[in-house]
Amino acid sequence: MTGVPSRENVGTAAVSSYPRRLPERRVALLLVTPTLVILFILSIYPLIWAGMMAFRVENLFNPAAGKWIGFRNFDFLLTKDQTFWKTMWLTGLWCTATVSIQLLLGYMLAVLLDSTMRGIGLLRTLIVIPVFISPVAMGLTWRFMYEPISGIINYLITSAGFARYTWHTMPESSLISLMITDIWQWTPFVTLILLAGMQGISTEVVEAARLDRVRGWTYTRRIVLPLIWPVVTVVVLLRLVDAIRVFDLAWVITRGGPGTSSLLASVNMYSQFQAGRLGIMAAYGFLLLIAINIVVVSFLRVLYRQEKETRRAAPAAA
Amino acid sequence: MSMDNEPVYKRTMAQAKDMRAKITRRRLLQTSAAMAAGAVVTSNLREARAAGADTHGPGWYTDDKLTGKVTCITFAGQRWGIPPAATIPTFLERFPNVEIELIDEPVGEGYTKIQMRAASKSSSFNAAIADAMQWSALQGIKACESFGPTLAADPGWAKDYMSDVPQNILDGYNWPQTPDGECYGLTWDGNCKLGYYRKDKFEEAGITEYPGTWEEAIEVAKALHRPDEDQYGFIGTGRRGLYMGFEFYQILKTLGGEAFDSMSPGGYHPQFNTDIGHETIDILTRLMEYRHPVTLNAADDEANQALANGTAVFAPFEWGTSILTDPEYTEFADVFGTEIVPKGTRPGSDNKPLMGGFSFYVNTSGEDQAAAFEWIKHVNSADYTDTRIGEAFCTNTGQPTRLSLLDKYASHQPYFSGLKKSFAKGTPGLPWIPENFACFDLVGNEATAVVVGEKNRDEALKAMDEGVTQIMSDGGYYD
Repeated sequence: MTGVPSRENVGTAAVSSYPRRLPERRVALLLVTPTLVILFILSIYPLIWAGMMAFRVENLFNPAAGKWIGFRNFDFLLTKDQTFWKTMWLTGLWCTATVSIQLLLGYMLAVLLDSTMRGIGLLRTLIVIPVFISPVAMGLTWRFMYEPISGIINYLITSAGFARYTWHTMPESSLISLMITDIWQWTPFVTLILLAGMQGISTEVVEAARLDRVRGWTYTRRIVLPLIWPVVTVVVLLRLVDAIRVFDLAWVITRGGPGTSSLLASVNMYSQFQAGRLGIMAAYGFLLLIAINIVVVSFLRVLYRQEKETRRAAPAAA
Repeated sequence: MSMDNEPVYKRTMAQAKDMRAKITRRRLLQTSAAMAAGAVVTSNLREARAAGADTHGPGWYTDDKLTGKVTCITFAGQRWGIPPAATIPTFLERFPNVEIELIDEPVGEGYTKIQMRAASKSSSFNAAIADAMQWSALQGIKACESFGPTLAADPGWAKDYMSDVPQNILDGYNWPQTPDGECYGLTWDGNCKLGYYRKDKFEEAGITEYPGTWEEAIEVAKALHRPDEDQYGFIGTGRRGLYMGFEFYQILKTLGGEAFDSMSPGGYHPQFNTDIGHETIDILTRLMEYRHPVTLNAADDEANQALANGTAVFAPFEWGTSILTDPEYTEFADVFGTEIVPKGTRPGSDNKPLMGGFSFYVNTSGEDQAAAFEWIKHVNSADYTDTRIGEAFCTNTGQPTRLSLLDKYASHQPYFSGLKKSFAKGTPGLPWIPENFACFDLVGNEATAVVVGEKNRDEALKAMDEGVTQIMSDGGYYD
């Protein structure tokens, strides 16, 4: 008799009377669906909408005049708008300079903090405070500090007998001023990550190096860097992506000025929004997205290639 | 050490500390007063009425049957956030069963936020602040309710309002924006580009007359420019984009120039790459030779700060502000003078200050519109309704459009007399078209490029014309 499970008919055709189980794949899909819906509403749909806007004239203040114009926005940015290429150049310069300096300073700080001296825990805690400050609050504070006449930095400089510096108020020095602030804020983050990597080095390796009297630059180059290389590449990737997208700091301190001397890509993009030119803004955003993807993919390719080589070399060494 | 020898940094920090303490206490008092008035109005209503009996005008009326909630968006700060809030106690006296909620938005993001809210037909608010420069954009999406019926229902009040606000300001909130247009907003805040100058520094430099022309203004800036002594002869709001666009447009207008050949069908062709455009850029770059260091990054806050701390002494076209003639904010309040902007010398030149200012409008998608209409009318009232309304507004850093209030409170805010003089000759701050922000953002970027040496004048003016032409073409003006 089917329908009622019993000890006798378990394992026989009567098992078909058990409640039907959904296939695992379907269950997984059901569980993931709410997340997919939210992802679609908050990410995919806006991306598609922005994509459509990039091919249109869209004026925030005159939506009735919106119309399809094909690739004209992209053509304008890539071939006619000198500011676009300048912002790309400045953003590239920004990324290279800030990430390199943060990496260098971060490594040096990590070496200093990688010790067991008294109070090192407190020092490590204090040093990361800048990372947690709101970028807008920090930008405003630094802007007041940079004031050429009434700012504290120039006050200290002139008190020490040096000449006043123009900081964010002149085209020659505005980008440097932004870089200093960004480096000040994010070097501790880099330090923290690299320090974690250093502390992950096996003590046996460290002892062996000490016994072999491997010290200084040789120790760093032959022992530490190869072992923390994966950590270094991750932190560089994270900082690079952040650096390409930087907005709040530049917006608060200089708004991309004076002129276009500190006009980073995100700032210029937002300026288009403020002027109501949504189509140009969307096209800009997509070009920036492509640029970020090129950088990230290239970076990851280099990273994977190195890892492959390391893995190939490891069995040979063994 | 005397104040004169004390480093600017120390002086500024001392002033800032003092201002912070005063602002905090003052704002606390104002906020508490507004809240306390709402809390105790019912129990003290009789007392308040008795106290107000001498202040009531012929337009005073109350209505305790009117209910609802007014959610009014305004911009944050002394000029836009505090003055309307200061009129709440008298509003609650008149309409005790209406709730008021003021939402303060940062002005930097305000225009785009207002536009997006209006375009989305949001019912989250029923009254909002709007600039005449944004008016056509709001009208294009039918965001505003007409004030026609409200004004028709109270002809005495309407007559008082219409006769007290300059026509060129009233026009900005009509639709169409002409004297014959229908009223869609009541304007409680007005501004003009003014010339701010330090009378003591003028005297010191032997300058006996305020410059009437741009050439004279450049000479004055040169005479006052002493960078070794932390004194700079010129300051403006030279931040790239719209701010510099205003600077350029102000000079252009005073030379008799216009943005377009005409503002009617068949027109709208930009007129920047012209003799007048060239002279405009020339004047701007020559003034910039004497600029304060912050000028190229400056919006209004930075320019006002430099004037307030005494390092900038001459601003020939600066938006009107209460802080420079208020001793609570600057030690130089007594020596700041205001004047109308200079003009050119070519035929057609005139002192034509750009006008700014704001109105409140009733959101077509909002609820409790009757309450919103009464609120907006109340904020825009003066002695005709109750003397306390204008007093609360003007003594709390408000900047009215009503000429009677500008006269009455000129002793409290000395720059009101300069404002009144400028209103008479004022011209719209930007052309009244939806594309104005986009056009003048582009114009400002090109002007900045010339000032910092990134482009020459011919390139920049040509780029202005080409860029604006493209924007207008996309807007369908040439079809």
